[in-house]
This record gives sequence, C-alpha cells and structure tokens, in this order.
Amino acid sequence: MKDAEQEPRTPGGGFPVGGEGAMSTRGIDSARPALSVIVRTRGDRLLSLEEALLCLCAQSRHDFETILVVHTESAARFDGVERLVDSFDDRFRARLRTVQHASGGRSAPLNAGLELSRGDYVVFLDDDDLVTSDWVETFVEAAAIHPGRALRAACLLARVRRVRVGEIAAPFHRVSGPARVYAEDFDFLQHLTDNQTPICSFAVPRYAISELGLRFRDDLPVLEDWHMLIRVAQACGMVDTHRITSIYQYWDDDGGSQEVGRANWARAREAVALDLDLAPLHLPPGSASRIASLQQRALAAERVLNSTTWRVLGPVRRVLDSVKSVGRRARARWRRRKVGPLRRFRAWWRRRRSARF
Amino acid sequence: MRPSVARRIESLQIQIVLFNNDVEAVRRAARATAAACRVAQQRTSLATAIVTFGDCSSTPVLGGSDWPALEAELVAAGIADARSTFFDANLGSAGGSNRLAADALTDAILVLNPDVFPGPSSIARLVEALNDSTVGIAEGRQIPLEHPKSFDLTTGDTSWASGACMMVRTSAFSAVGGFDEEFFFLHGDDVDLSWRVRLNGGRVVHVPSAAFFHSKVPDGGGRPTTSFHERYYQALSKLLLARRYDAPLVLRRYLAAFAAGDPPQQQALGVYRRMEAEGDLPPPLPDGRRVAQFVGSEYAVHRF
Repeated sequence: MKDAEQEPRTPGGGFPVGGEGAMSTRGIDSARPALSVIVRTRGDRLLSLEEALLCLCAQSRHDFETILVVHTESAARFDGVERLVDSFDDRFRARLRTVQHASGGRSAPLNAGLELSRGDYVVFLDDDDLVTSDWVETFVEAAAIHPGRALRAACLLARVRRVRVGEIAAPFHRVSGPARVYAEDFDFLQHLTDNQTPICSFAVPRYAISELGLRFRDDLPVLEDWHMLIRVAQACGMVDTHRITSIYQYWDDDGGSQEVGRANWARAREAVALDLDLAPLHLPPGSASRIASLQQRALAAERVLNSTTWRVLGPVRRVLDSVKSVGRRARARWRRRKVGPLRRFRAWWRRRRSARF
Repeated sequence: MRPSVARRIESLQIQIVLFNNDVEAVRRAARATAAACRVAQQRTSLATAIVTFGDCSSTPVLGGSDWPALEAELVAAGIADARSTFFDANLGSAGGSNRLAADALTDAILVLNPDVFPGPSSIARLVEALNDSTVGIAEGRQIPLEHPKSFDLTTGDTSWASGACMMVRTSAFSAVGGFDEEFFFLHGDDVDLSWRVRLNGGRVVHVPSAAFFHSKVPDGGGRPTTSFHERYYQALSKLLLARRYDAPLVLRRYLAAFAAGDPPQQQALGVYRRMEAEGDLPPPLPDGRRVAQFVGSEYAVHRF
C-alpha cells in the first residue's frame, strides 16, 4: 500500500488501496478500447432499449465497445433484440456485441458483461436510462487525468410513466423534468447509508475487475450497483467529473426496479450492510473527525429521545404522523389518476389564460 | 381551407442546414439517418428517400473529399439521391430550409438539425403518422433532453412542432409558403410554421415513439444551455409571434419584461422597436388567436 501522504487526496472520495499495479494498465495493450459499455436488458422493452442504444450511437467518441447482454431464456426475445441491433448503422454495429445470458439474478448479465469486457474502464447502462453525447468522452478524459481511479459523472433524475398515444405505445412519458437530486460530490460516508450514484454515472477501472476481482453480487434483488460502487470506491478512490452526462429515469408507475417491493429493498439493504461489516472498511482522509462529529450528534439525539418531554409528546406525534401518512397516500393516489376534475379545471384555466391576449 | 385529399407518403426529402458543424459529427448523424430510412422503407409506404444538405457556413463543412465520400456512403446505404449545396451565405435555419425545400418533389420533407440522430424506427413512425391525411406535421420526441410541451395522449395533437425533427407534408408546407425567413432567422420559425399549417386546416402531432437524439448540453437544472445569440433570437421571435398572432396583452408583457431583461432580451427589444418605427413588423394574421398559445413565456402548456 502506498504511503497515505503520497496518495492524491480525493475529498470524501474513498481511499485507494493497492500499489503501482493498481494504476491503469493502459499503454500495455493499446488495442484495448478506452471504455467498455455494458448494456443490460431483458429484451422486453425494445423501444426503450432502442433509445439507450441511440444514445451510444450518438457519442462524440468512438473508442468504446458495447456489450449488450440480453438476460432471458426466450429465443424470441433474444431474436427481437438482435433484429433491433441490425437496424442500426454498420459502423455502430461493428463495435457492439450481443450476448444472451439465460441464468442468474439481476446482476448476472452485468457480471457476464464484465467477463467479456476489454476496455480500460467499464461503465453500465440500463435499457431505460439515457446519456448525453459526451458520456463516453467525459469518462475517457477523466481517466487520462486520474488513471486508476473510479470516476463519477453527474446524473439527473426524471420521472416517467408508460403511455399509449392512440394505439402506439411510447417507451417513456416524462412527467417531471430532469432534476439534480443526487449529491454533487461523492461522499463515501454518505454513500454508506444512501446511494447517490446511479449505475449509469460511475466508471470502474480495469484492474478492479481483472486484478481485484470485483463483481456484482448476484443474490441481491436490488442495490447491486450500490454494493459494487462502495467496494470500487474503497479500492480505487473516486473522482468526480461534475459533468452532467446521464438521466436516470424513475418509473412513476412502479416499473423497473421499483417493482421489486419494499421487503426486498429492506433485505437487500441489510445484506449490503452485513457484507460491508465482514471486512475492514478503508475510509478516506477526514473521516475520523466526521465520524466523531456524527457520534456526538447521535448521542445528543439519544438524550432527546430518552427525555421525559419526548415521551410525553408521543401521542401528539403519532396523531401528526397519521395525518401526514393519510395525506401522502392521498397525494400518491391523486398522482396515479389519469385525469382528475381539478386537473381538468387547471388545464382549462391555463388554456383560458393563454387565450387572453 | 382544408388540405386536399393526401396520398400516402412514398417519397421523402431529408434536409439538413449546416452551419460550422463538425464534419465527423455530420457524418455520424447522416449514417443514422440512412439506417432509419432503410427501416422506414422496409416497414412503411416509404419507397424513396433523398438527403440534401444546405451549408450556410463561411467555408464548406463538407469540403474537399468529404462530400464525395459521404455521398457514396449514403447511396450505398440505400438513399436514392444525396445532394450538398454550399450557399456561401448565412441564410438562417428558415432561409436554408426554404431554399432546400424549393426543389422538393417528394411527398414529405423531414427537417433535421445537423446534430440530430434519428432512432432506427423513428422515421418510419413519422411516416406512419403523416399517412393520416389530416396531419400536416409530425414531430419526433427529442432525447435525452425532452421538450416539455404537452400533447393529447389520444391523438398526439400538440401546439407546435420543433424544427429539429419535424416531418411536413410537402403540400402543407407549400400551401403556407414554407418557413417565414423574413421575420424568423433562427428561432420561432418552427412555431410560426406549425401555427400557419394549423390555420390552414392541418394537424400538428407529436409522436413520442419516434425518438431523435439531439446533442444538447444540460445545465444544472436539466435544461439545454443556450448561447447569447440563441437567447436573442428566442426573445425576438417571442415579440414577433405575439405581434403576428394578435396577442396584444402578451406582447405588452414581453415588452415590459425585456425592457428589464438580460442583454439578449434588451437587444431583441431594441431591434423590435426599430422595426416598429420603420413599419416593418408582420401584420396580425386574421384568426391567429384560434391556434396560437402563449402560456407564460412558452407556446404550449408544459408537462414539466
């Protein structure tokens, strides 16, 4: 392990382990692409997969390979994906490999893609996320400046729904604009409790896969990306590029990973925490004083929770919580309704106001 | 006046106005366009596709051997004819598009920005939409930064179509005289065209399943970044559209806002006042209010 004083500091960014061999091996094999893009799909939403592939087709740099892993047993679905790929132009197809992976859980296609990848860095794209034209360029440029580090770009979140216009299904109907909801800077401690880095917004250096053997846990129904991110950040350190290069599309109508269910989310979270507890945790510089500060705040909170005042006001809090919960459920039900009288009125009022020239 | 009974779309002219674009980016977008045309020819009534570039740059983007190589590539990919015209003048997007459309003998015209990549099935979907004889303009959905304007979820009808990726029935385009290049140099020409097509009886529809990748850089709020010139032309077009579509209250609001606005808006206001003094403003269109929408500072109700 390198002397900590010599290691470049990445604020909150994880503390890299490993010696010289941990740095990028680029230049040893110049035939390797700069980036491997692993696209995961089940082959059941071809329209959105088409859009994800279109984003890759429109990239400003071409020194990347795409490994499209179709996670299905169905030959028909795989054929459908292959037909979709055939509809793209020749040059894009030449840099794309389509593979079928029939077994395993949610992470199996990602691990299968890792086995096939050759790039100096690996990035991941789900079939319902979108990236800007400089997504590849951002990671490649950052890799040249910070070889061997894990890389993070900024990601926006947009809420989407499924919709049909007449007889034709559209892959997404955006109901909220892309918004900046994820933390601007990578904070390792914060990431131990809450993932602020969608899978399409971080890049893993080659040695983390080939030499450290990092893989996604296949038994996790969700949060497999979070688990991988923590280990990669710990092993390689994380560098923020601060460029917005992707949009994570959050299904407002329980599609995508939201369909997994609350219980599975809770179990996955516990499994990740247990796994991280099994080995020493390497924390970035500055963590000791932050943990001490957090500990002091936790002790202060505990004193409040144990106080008589808190106990006495318990019933009042429970009533307020019930009211808030009812309000939340009502708002959620309202959002799910296609058209409500109030919405119709508001739409009419906007049209009326627009007519007042 | 309703459009005449329209035939199915069997021929298409794809026209792209260039201005100092990177030649490699133009090539990549052209390849994606050719691939999408091939799919459209397999799946729809489309039989013939032509690609034509109009170059408003000071030196040709597709100069030297670049154009012959691209032309050969497009023809090999199934494009019936590929053309490139160096205008040797900056005509603006409206003027450039009109110049290219003047030669169009096809059933429809697809107006594309040079930094727009059609998805493989996207041109097919626009052709299918335009095969409805009531539709004058069909617009694709831009990704990754989607335009927030609303559209009817049953019919796809929308207030206006974006000139970044709009397919127009040639007869509808000609019937209204094409883009108004006199008043709309760079922005607002698509809104104006859309509203005049609608005034003439044609529908404007949004086709969300037709994805077009538009290379834009998002700002911190997820909106496309805009340059000084873009904001200037946007501001000027707001004033001119409010004037043309007979919206005096909206116009008054814009004039007040731009007087206290940022430098591009103030510059646009100055130009508008000069045009007003010289009697060069577009006259209000009869019945313009029937189709125009001014919602806040936008031309349609926005979903987000």
